[in-house]
Amino acid sequence: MIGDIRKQAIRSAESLAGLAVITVFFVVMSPTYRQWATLTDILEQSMELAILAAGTTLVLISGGLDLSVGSVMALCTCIVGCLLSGASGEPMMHAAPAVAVTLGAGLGVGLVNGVVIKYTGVPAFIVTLGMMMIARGAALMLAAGRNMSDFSDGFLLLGDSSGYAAPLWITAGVIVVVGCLLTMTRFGFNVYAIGGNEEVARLSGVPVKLHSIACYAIGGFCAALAAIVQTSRFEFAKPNRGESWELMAIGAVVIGGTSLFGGSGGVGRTVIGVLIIKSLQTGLSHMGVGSYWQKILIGVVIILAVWIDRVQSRRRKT
Amino acid sequence: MNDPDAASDPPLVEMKGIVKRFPGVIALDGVDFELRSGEVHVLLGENGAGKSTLIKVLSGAHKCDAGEMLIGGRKVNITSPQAPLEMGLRFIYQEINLVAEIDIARNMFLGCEPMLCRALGLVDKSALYGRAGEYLRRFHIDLNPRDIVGQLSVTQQKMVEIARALVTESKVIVLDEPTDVLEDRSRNDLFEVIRRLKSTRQVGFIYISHRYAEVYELGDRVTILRDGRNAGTHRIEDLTLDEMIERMVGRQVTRQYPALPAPQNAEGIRIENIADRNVLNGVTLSVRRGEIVAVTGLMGSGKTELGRAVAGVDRFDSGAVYVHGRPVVSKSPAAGIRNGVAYLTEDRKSEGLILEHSIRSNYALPSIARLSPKGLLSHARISREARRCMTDLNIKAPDMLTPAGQLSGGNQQKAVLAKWLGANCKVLIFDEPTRGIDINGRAEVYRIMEKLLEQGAAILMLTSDYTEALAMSHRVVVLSHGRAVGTFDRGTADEEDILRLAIGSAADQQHTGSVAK
Repeated sequence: MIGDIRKQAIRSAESLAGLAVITVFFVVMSPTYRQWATLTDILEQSMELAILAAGTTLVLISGGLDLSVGSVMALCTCIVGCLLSGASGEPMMHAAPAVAVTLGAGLGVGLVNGVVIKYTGVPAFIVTLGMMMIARGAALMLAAGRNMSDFSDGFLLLGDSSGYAAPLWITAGVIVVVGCLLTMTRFGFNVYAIGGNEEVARLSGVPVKLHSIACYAIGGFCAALAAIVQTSRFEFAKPNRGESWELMAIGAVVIGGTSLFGGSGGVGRTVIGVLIIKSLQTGLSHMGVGSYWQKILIGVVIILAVWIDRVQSRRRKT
Repeated sequence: MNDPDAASDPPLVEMKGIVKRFPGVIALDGVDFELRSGEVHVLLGENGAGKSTLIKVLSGAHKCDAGEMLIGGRKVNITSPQAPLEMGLRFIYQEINLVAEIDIARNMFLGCEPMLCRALGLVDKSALYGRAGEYLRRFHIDLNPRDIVGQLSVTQQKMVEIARALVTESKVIVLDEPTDVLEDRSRNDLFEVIRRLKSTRQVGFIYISHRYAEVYELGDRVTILRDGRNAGTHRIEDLTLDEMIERMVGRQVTRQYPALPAPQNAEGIRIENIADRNVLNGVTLSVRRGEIVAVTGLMGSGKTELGRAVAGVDRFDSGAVYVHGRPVVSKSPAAGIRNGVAYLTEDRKSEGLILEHSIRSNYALPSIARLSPKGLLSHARISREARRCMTDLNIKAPDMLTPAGQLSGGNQQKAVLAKWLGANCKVLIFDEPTRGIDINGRAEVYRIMEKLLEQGAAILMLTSDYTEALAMSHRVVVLSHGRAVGTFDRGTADEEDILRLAIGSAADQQHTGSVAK
């Protein structure tokens, strides 16, 4: 954690090197990749995953796991879609309160996850797996028979990367806030401790339940924010959004080098992880590799990244 | 060496000039070791002297950099953890290594079950239970082969591990601090089995222990390791306890226990009638400021439970706690710390320290509220305090960013102490403060306790080591079945008095001190 800045720096350097290798590879191999447009393209497509993965990073560092965030994205997309849709008459709300309600919903789902996990003792895997289905079902219910589009200009600004570049600022904001939370605050210190060894943290006076629940809540909030940006960018809402995004987010976090078992990691590395995944996707598309193969290759990269990590840490130990 | 029958048989195990280097340290520097059949050979040494490294070389967990090993007179090259098992060696570690969900017989024959039909993998159950029962009977291990291992006591599980070694006809059994988890009466059962095996089967035992008393009770020869070298192999009867300690430490240990300063009159903590289910049955005691009260008793007497209840780690049904005269209610460890009560767990590795995190982070954990004004971490202050504490307590580590898991047992305990010193608690509850720590480490822990007393702390020391209870306290409270059955003032009792009271057999209270209400 904070004490192990050197080790973190080494690990980040490794991920950065990986990103560099991938970039150089595609720059050499694909003439169309060699354009500034590609860079902005990758960035634009990375925003929502980066926001989502920032929350996932926090949850994983605290030793938790949240499989529901992809479905929560779908649910939040449908909520904001319902509230703002002008397709069948006047929208129910203005953009600002609708966004607030949606963020609240994401936060609430995360809160429920955390409370159930911490107070019933049912494993996080099971609780969030259940919530994944519940949220997806709720999203489909909300979307049934509705056309969720024709949003106001104000809302569309949130996902518009030209002009004010709102998504970029939102993403940067989320990353900076989560990063500061982790490295500069008592909350972050305690989150690392809980992930490192929950019982030691509890015996040392850390309010474990409160902190863990807060992590899930922030994770849900990030999912809602990602959904809002994405809905605004696509200009319509659909209940099948965010499918298997929870796994993509975990993949990005892990490629970045955050431990799946908690206690170490950081949000900066997650950004690198997201960029690696998106560079791969974009680069492979430029080379004409189909999306099926892209999936397979990204799967290989995730396993490879963790394997390299294990080999390295074993070498450092002996 | 001048033993007449030593030459007749080759030694069971012979290790010559074993060298093992780790980055930056030489863990073993040319160690010779020899185990004959039918002997208990005790391996003594402080933490870090190389005992476990030597055993790990023998077990194939580490590869030695130089030296040779002979098993039964034949030169061997141990390359995998399976190899020594095939050569008839068995390793019984501190942690139990059995499958908890299956019964004793199945555990004993795991991997070598008697078969009805090998091709189909059909186990001959009647032979399995019959033979298991026979082994257990022959060595007077009073257990039913059909009992599920997970439901046995720790002692019984140890016995099963030894029984398993018999099944494979092992000639060498390595026991790594087997009695650390056992209480007195079961230790005797274990020793009985070891003696019988030694005389009837000529099994050789390598026995690693911290307890000197056991060395005399059980051992035939002793090899003392110091700083990765063999500091001498002797017949037990040729060596006095003082000589043994001197060779281990490499200098004369003058005084292990410090003289305790006189306590103040002001009350530190008072515990009234604490009861919890049937574990604690109304314990009342008080500790003044600057005083150490030792609480001792057999396993299951409720020592640990008392400590955890008082500190807010576990809830309790009824009773009251007063700190500096004020009633306090601690519903969580956090509340306990706010009320000025710290609980230093007996289980450093899983409850005391976050092993992957640095000494610095561990240090800051209980005092993080103080070290992060307005919720923002003061990194400079954390580093400054952690560094100072490391120097004060003489924690040996490259720097404060070293992960706690890389420290030796004694240094880990000092790291736990460091962490709680930072929390500025008025009352400290030490649970088994020196378990698994070598002599030097102990002396240092005691010195720190002494310093705490001078600063006016009240210390409640929960310990199963009667010597420690008597020597390191102003008063000893004996607990039995969750009740305080007696209190001895300093210098009014010996180990035997405590044991008698703890067992509760003949509580002749004439020559004991006052008896608690």
